Amino acid sequence: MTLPQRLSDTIAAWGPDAEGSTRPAGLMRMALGCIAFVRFGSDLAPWATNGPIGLILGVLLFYFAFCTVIGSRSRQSIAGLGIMIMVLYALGVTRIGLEEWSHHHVYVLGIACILLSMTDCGRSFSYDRYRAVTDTPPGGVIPAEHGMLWGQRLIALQLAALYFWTAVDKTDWAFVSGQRLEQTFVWIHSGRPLEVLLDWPVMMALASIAVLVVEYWLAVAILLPKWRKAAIFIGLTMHASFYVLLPVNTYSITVMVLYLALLDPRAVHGFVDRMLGQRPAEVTQ
Amino acid sequence: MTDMAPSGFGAATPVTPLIAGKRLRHVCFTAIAAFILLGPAPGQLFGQSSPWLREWVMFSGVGVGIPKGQFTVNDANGSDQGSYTPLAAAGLDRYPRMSHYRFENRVFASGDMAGFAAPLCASLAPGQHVSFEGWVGTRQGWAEMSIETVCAMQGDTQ
Repeated sequence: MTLPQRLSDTIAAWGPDAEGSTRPAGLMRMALGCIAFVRFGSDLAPWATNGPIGLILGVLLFYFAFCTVIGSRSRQSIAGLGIMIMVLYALGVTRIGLEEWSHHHVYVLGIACILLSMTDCGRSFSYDRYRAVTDTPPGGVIPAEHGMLWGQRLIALQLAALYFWTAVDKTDWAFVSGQRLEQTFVWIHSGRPLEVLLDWPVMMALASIAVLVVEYWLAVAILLPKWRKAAIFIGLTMHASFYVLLPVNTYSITVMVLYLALLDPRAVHGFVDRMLGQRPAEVTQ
Repeated sequence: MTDMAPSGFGAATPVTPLIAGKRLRHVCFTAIAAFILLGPAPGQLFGQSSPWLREWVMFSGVGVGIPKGQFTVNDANGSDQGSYTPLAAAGLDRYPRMSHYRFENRVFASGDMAGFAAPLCASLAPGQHVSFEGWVGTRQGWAEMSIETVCAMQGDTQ
């Protein structure tokens, strides 16, 4: 087998042909549904809408979010939820809807839902799973928590792209010198407890350089097994710090949830087994 | 496709292909991956932005149009009557917790400073004027700005 063939096979096995435990996808599905409720609850609830279109959008979105959380017709539900969120994003972009709907945290949530619908995310932690188990006749074999995961790989690529391109945006003197971070902090922290940070311009520059280096590194490291553990720790720490320092809305929690897509499905499966007091099953993927 | 689940997760059950046909799935994966990885390139590398190709430029516009420096009130004879921070000049305790894009009093030219400092301008005694010395946030960093008579420049779009 030639090198290009081997490379092609390796990429295919990792990407479009990926399959394995559906527990990480199931966990992501429930979390993304909850995040959708939190993000749009105050925008699309009946008390917040002014007309029938808003009401219809709200009913559809919350129906799909509910079905996504409980895992009823899971793949269709999360696909519907993702499409609804992207409709809201489009309405935000065109200023027909709220301008905030065009923000990056809405896009990340919507695209993640759509990509997750390309996995068998209903085979774990879902009503679909419950039905499959209870429908199994006595003595029958319980369906496997195993399925296609190519959407999970696309989520991993989305995270890598996000880190890379946001780092590209920061690759200029205005950011590296700390000026852009200082501007951001002037807007957000002036007159607030952390205003004291503005007295440390050198720290602003150092923090900016650190963020830039970490984001370029994360773009690659999250995809490489040998660096993944460190990347996840550093990435989670960075996103947690965003929550403290910046009004990130649901962006950080969405990305933190999507880190499940980076983990080895076998490891997540075994971890859940151990948490339930069961011996991890022997799995091949 | 006849993919089967390996042992260890329960029974061997067929894996449900979300797109039937291995080749079609490979094509879809490649197309979506290319969209994800290269979609931001036109806007971020070549300035050809499209709202449908999401660019990852989070918080890049926050703080743009916000001044940093000192407003000074002077008498007609030039004597200093007090200094004010940008927040004090704008009559704010802090900037509003709203999307930064909708803050109407941002400063893009020296003439916009009168709008930013309108509360301070409104409080002046006859003969007094306000000057500003400092910087204003731009996407390229802090831009130095020095204005001798802030309030008189309203409407100037220099």
